[in-house]
Amino acid sequence: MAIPRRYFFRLVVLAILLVFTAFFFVPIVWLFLAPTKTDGQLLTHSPFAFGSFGTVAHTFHKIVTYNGHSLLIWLKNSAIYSFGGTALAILAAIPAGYGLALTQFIGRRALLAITLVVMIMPATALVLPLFLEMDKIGLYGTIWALILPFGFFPFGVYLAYIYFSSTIPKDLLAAARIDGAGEWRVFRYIALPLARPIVALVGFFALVASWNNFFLPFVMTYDNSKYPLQIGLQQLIGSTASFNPANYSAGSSVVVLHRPDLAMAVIIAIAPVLIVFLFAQRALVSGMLAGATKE
Amino acid sequence: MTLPSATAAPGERARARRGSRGERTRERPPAGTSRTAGYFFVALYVGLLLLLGIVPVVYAIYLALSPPAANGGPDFISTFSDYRFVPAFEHVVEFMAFWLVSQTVLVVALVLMLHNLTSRVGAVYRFLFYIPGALAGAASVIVWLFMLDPSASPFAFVLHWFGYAQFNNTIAPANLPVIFAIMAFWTGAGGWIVVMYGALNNIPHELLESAQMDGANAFHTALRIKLPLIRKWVVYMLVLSFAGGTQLFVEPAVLGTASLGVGISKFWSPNQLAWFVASQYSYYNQAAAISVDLLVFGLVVAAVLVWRGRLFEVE
Amino acid sequence: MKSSISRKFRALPLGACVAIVAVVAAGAATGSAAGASAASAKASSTPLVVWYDAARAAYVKVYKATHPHANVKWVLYSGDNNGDGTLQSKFSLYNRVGWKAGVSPDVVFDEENYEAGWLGLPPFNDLLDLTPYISKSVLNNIEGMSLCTINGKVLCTRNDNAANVLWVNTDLFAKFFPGQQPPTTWDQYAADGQSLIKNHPGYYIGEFGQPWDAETYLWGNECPINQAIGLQKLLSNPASPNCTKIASLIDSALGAFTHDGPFTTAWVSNKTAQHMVMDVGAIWQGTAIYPSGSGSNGPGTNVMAAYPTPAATNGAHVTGAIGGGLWMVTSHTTQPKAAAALVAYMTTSPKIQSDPTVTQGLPAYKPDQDKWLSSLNGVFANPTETIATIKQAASQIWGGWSAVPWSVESIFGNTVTPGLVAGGTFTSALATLGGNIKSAAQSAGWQVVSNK
Repeated sequence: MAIPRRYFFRLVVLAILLVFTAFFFVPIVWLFLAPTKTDGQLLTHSPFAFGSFGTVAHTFHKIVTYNGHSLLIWLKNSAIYSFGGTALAILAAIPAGYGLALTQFIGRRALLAITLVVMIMPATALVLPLFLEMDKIGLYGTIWALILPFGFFPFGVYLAYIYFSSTIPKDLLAAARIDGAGEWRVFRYIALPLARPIVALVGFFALVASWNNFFLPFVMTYDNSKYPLQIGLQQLIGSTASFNPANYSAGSSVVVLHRPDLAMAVIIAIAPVLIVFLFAQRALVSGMLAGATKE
Repeated sequence: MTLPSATAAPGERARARRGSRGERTRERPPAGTSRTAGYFFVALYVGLLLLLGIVPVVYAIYLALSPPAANGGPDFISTFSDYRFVPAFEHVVEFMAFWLVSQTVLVVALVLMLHNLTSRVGAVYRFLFYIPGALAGAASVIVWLFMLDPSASPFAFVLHWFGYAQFNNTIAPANLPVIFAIMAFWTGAGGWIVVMYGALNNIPHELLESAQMDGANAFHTALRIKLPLIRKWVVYMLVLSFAGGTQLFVEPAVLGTASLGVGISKFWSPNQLAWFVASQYSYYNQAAAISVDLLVFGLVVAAVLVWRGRLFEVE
Repeated sequence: MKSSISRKFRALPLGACVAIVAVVAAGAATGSAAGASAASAKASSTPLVVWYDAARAAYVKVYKATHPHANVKWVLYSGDNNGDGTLQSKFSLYNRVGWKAGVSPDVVFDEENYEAGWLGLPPFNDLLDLTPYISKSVLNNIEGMSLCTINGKVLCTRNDNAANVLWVNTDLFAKFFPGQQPPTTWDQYAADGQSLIKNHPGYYIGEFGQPWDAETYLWGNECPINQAIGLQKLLSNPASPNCTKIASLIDSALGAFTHDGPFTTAWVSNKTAQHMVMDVGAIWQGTAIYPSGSGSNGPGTNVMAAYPTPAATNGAHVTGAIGGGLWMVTSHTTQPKAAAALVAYMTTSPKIQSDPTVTQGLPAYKPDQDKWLSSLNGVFANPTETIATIKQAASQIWGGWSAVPWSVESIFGNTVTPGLVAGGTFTSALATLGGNIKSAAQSAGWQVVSNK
């Protein structure tokens, strides 16, 4: 007897979903299992084999202490650039979004249009002119050369604009203004208390974007000790034997990295963002659509 | 109502079509609203916008169009005939074609499928799809170095089925646009699925129930009712992805280094080419020219998408 | 009373006086020398910035141990491996924003062997001519300097000598070619390959389809495809018989070459090293590729012996080279003497170059070679011949392969290797390689000719 059409359809959907689950999630599983194995085991055993906890501890220690705890230095740098940039992004975007949504001034529409255009602009294509400009104004080589660009976040402004224009009832604002409240008080006592979801949302996007940014720090950092994690990871590839044959001419007393060490470095590099992701998913959805639910 | 809503009634949308940017008139704020306070709210942002948005663009255009010094490289017109220029743009266009089409189709298909499941089960799937978004750039390339290697990958059977005996076969030049599209899809799709799922949740239940009572099955409901209502989000995704895609840099750069440059040069993408001529020859004018080309390319296509998609309705 | 004392003094033997004077003088000399070095150590309060790669970490250790008072800031970087462009990017940035003593590098170790031709020529001009700082006798004793001597200036030193030899698995060779000697001409080499294809498929005479194929096969045949013959003038003639003959010979035995690259996962999991009957490779590859053990899955170095690479198709006894590294001093250094001294130390000190636990390659500096070579006793088969072969090959690197502002290895890998991996021929690859070298040269502002 043929399977009823409804169940067949459900089976097909399930099969497709499982295939994609494997596609998305298997590499992550592989990544977390990799440091449990030695380099030889990684190549000869099954990709899903679990090595040993002892190997994990050894690999962790090796990669963290490598080259004078470089990984920790890079972690610190990433934190400074990203959190600094995110703080600035929030500081600029939230009031700007509010101003665009709920105040009136000449050039408001133009500014909004410019923001939309700038959002679409390829940021990486501007890194080179940005570098030349930073050099001219003397900020090159300072942390501001990174924090300022990270703090410029038109996407965050647009999100805040949407949020404020749809969550704050106009009559409430009108009433407050008629009562004589100044604009600052309106913002401080009406808008800000309602702004928690959008602050979280803008913060999330800004943090992830700045943490994962490669090209800007690549151009803007002068000194190797100022690299963030993304650049550091690329440098580690050069120290990994299997990706750089020159390491095979190292003397036998040299510490050379192998594949599991690189995998461990990746895990450490993504850990902060991963943790943020784990907690942000719900806030992401609710913040994103808080505007849409209010008609 | 400014959010591209899933439930804008047809009449509203028709009214929205008026005006060059679809602007609708709206009631003025009540008298007494200070007109200067707005400037203070946007001040910090405008400062950053000028410093980091406007000035670099103007500087880039100026550099691109001004004649270079002696031994300063080709002028603006000649940059187009650089032997690396056309291949680089071809690579990126191929990459974006694969990526945008597959991302759009698959994200929409997956989210519609997920929306049919119970919210608990759907949440688990969405979470698993979304985790790769935490890896970006160098981190995701390192993972994919192993995924693409038939000797080490958990997907080895897939690679063998394609006939790839070793890593250099997988990353043959013809495959590169597809490979980068796969990487980009892997990191980006999950986030968009979450967003679209939220948009689907906004569809009033009455609409779906009445469709069901009319005899539509899940498939028809998905295609005829849900899909049109998230159209704006799809266009939004296309626009933002397009902007990001033109700037492809990290993935080819890191893959090139780790693969010993087999089949991937240091100037595979236009962004890489710009950086290459700047850093290897100090041809800053040529680099700026390429950056401006990318800018214009991205803006034109995005503008077309925005206009045709009637996406950004400004109040 | 006075007279008795003075008589005692007069009695001091002359020898003792001389001795006293000598001791005092020596003490004064030592004191001033110590004073001088202490003064110089104290005077250089700006550290000397040295960029090194992961494989040179042992060098750093030795230097720190032997120079405890030196003020050096050691910075690990990617080594510019596979021409990843780090050095060029950083140097052009520094050229733009200014070099800072104590921050930007004074000394750099570079894995990209063509780089002196890039960083030392316009528009960079960032390398210091070492001729005034390192004695001629030292410089003349370093092998492989054709990649460092550019327009009469010495812009770097070589770290190790990576001349190519023919590595032979003596067990396999005796099994498959009983009674024969390893090939001395490329014709014989190709014939051996054809014999393997017919009688022992799955065994190889070499690797092919790697980014360094040009350095392996073309350099050692005097192929004039990348020869600088003047200021910004390149001789590039892929149609020369020195190039075409070797290409067609290799094409006649393509099936006897493996596409697995050393150090790749395929090489290890396919145990490719155990299937190499012979292989043209650099000196350092002997101990890097062939050890048994899960990291390389080789046959063990005890069965490997080194023979001279076949004579070039035009009869010349030359060989190519793969690797070797460069030590460079930047022209913006504020301490040229100290920087050059450090470079000289790294290049010549036996504590570094002759110690196989510190460096795995044959020293480029000739006086250090014998000691390093003696450590090979008991490592390879036919030890005396192997060592003699290595020493001879080291002196036979052809000087017509030039350091230029592009990397032949990169170009080959980018444009030629994919075709070869897909089964293409070396002959067809030659034209592609020549064309791409020409494009790269012209976009760098060079003039390309095909005849001298």
